[in-house]
Amino acid sequence: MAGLGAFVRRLFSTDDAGISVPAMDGVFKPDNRLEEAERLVSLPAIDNLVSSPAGLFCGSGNTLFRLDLGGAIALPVAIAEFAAPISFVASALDGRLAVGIEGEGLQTGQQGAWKRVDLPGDVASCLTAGVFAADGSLYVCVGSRRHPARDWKRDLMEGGSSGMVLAIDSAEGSHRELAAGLAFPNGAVMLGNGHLAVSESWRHRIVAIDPKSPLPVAMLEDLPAYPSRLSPASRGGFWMALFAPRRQLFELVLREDDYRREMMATIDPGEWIGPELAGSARPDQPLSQGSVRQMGVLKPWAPSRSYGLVARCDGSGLPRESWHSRADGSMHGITSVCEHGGSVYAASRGSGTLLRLPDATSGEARHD
Amino acid sequence: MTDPHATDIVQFRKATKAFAGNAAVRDVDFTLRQGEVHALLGENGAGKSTLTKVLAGLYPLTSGEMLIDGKPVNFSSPGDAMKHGIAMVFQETNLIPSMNVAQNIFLGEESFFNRLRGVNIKAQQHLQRLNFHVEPTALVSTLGAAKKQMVEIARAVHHNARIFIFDEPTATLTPEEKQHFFALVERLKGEGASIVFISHALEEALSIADRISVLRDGALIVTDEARNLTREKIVQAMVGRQLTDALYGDAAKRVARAPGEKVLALENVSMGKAVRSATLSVFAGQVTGLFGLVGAGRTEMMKIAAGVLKRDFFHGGRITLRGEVVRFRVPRQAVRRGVAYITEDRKLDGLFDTMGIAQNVFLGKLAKGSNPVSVIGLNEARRQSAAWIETMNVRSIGANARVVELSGGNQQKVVIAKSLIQAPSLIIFDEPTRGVDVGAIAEIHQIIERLADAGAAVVVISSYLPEILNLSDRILVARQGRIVEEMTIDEASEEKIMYAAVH
Repeated sequence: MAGLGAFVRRLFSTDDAGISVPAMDGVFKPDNRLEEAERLVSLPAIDNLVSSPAGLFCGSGNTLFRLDLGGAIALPVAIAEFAAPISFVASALDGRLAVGIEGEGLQTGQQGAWKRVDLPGDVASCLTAGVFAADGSLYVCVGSRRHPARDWKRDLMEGGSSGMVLAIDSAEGSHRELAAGLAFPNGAVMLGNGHLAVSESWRHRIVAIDPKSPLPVAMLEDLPAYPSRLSPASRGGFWMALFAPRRQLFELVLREDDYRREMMATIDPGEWIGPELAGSARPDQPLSQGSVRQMGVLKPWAPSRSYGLVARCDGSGLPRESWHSRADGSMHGITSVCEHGGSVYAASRGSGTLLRLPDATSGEARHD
Repeated sequence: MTDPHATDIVQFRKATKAFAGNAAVRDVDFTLRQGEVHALLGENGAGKSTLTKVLAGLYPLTSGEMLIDGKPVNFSSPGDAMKHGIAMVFQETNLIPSMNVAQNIFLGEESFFNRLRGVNIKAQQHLQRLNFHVEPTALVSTLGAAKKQMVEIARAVHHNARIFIFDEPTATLTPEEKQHFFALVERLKGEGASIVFISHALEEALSIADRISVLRDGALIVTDEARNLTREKIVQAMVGRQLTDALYGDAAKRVARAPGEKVLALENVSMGKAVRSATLSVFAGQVTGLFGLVGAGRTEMMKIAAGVLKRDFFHGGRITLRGEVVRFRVPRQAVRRGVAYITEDRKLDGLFDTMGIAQNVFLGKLAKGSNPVSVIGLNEARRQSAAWIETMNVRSIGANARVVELSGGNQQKVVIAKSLIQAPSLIIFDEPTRGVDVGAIAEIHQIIERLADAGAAVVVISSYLPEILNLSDRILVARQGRIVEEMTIDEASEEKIMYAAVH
């Protein structure tokens, strides 16, 4: 009976008249600037850039790196090694760092003086992002309470909305829940009014959370890609990394419950139809045939599973400018973008490359 | 290729055709040679159709002369032109769909008693002579567009036509049908017929025409052998007007407004064959220019957004208004959600021309009103209408003057006021300055600019490139029912926009 109801709703609802995704136009008009960005360092699992008074930090696998940008070439300097992969890094104004460790929870402190913050097991395995407020308090995004961070695709396919935002008191080692029921919160930044902007990946939106109120308010909705980490912009507003594009095929798979369940039950997760961090030249990907590649040439407008996208938003959350690496590029899976020392850096997780964005801070932006 | 010294069977000398004082064709010297395919190119409103309609006897010339076989002629009807062997094949053919092919070919020549078999055999012989593969007994309604054109041509040949005029013949044809059509043109040419071919598709013109003429603003800009022309040269000739016109300023010096919130989004919206998977966004605080040639589906796209037309029910895509999915059944629903569509045909859709200005303006307010039994004070209605008449600077003898007595520009201002009284947040202007005098054009442009400055989302559909370039903060180009290009004002130029619209 429920199935019949869903069928009738699908037939007559205005919402389900077809499968479509928002257009990449206007501010999101594609260009090639991310592909042409200066490539500084190659780190296979580079993730979560964070600017601190002590330098630019990033996680890559189990290792926390400081990126030495002073010389002729950029050098990653390993400063700490953890027992499991790093899922996020955050930095406070006083130089303190917070590092999320997959399955292990949260560590705060500095080089050589780490302190573990105890968190419940279902929360500790998927810490996706964190941000320090001006008063030193720490907010942490928990992407999912059901799956570890590395299993993000499964959370998407299961329609996960078990994510939450926690306020951590690192001195006392306590935490409190700020917001719950979020669909994979994956990035956070403090706004000028003391509110917290959080990216909800699976709902393709940015929400504002008042630390005094549990109800998130949508700031920016219906993004053309899955948003990831956020970081403050010196011109006001924030930077937004978007790690994978929305495609009609993914939306179809996410809508067709039986198909998706069978796919998850019978096929290896690496082969699932869904967003990816990096492109694949493998011929067994269904999209490799016809619509993506023709006569050996990859069409830039093809509906690829991966994409590179960075956007700068103003204080009200409106996107103002964007940088792209299209289907024929390789700087895909941008999971983090960060302003440091007058330049803007982006981490392409898909290609394992640290990028310096052109025209990101100098002069006026195209749409300002 | 035709012999350059071949006989000119049609000559226009200083031909001018004016409608109510506005010259649609000005001082055109045009020649058509025996056995040539002559392509006529130009933007919408360049005068191509007018020139050919004069040749086909639909309009008389205002001044200048037309010579057929060197002798001056003045056709009073299309029948006159037919007697001289001139036949025009329109986009929408003039066949009777409920009759069969043979009956259509011999229409008007029926005897008192007709033997169908005899008519069919005669038609078959005629079609075979032309090498047209059309079944004479087939109902015309069952034929495709190309076959219908064949029947129309067969009918013209039967009436001894030797000059064929094709107005946008390939616009409605499938690629396969186009090949049929080109073969047909070659065959007609081989039989010594002369062909005038109006098209927007430059590649087609370059490939099948012997000579090409480009018209712009009613004047003949260039006539040359097709082999001497390139796509770039033609586009330049089509749009190469001087941008020094004070009205349109210098588009290159403009700075685009920053986009605000996304107000309207069309995602893969389809409606029959007119709109095919159109995807576009419109942002607040900006003017979004929508350019396209006739038949590109731009008006239809916006009419769908405004509830005037409805997208396909199945697989018709998605329309969102401020993030909310909508499918308006009637325009009133859109009006109440702050969408105003200002029509391109004000006489048909925009006004009640025998009513007064104030009444027309206030009708807009009534359309937005939510309470069907509310009582409206006459004074309030007068006051609101008068305020808008003053804001829009509608020049008339009084607020009760009938709209039909106003000039085109003032009528257009009334149509705009009728929509703006609804306080819309998304305003779609469809050809806002068509048939409007120069003074009113500047005022209408100012209104559009002010609306965008005040934060409204504005869409301007226009076929006139300087208008698009001068008003828009971002430009979308439509072709064949979809958006094919988006340009910022920094990268847009007349040539680039036209190139996107025709390729």
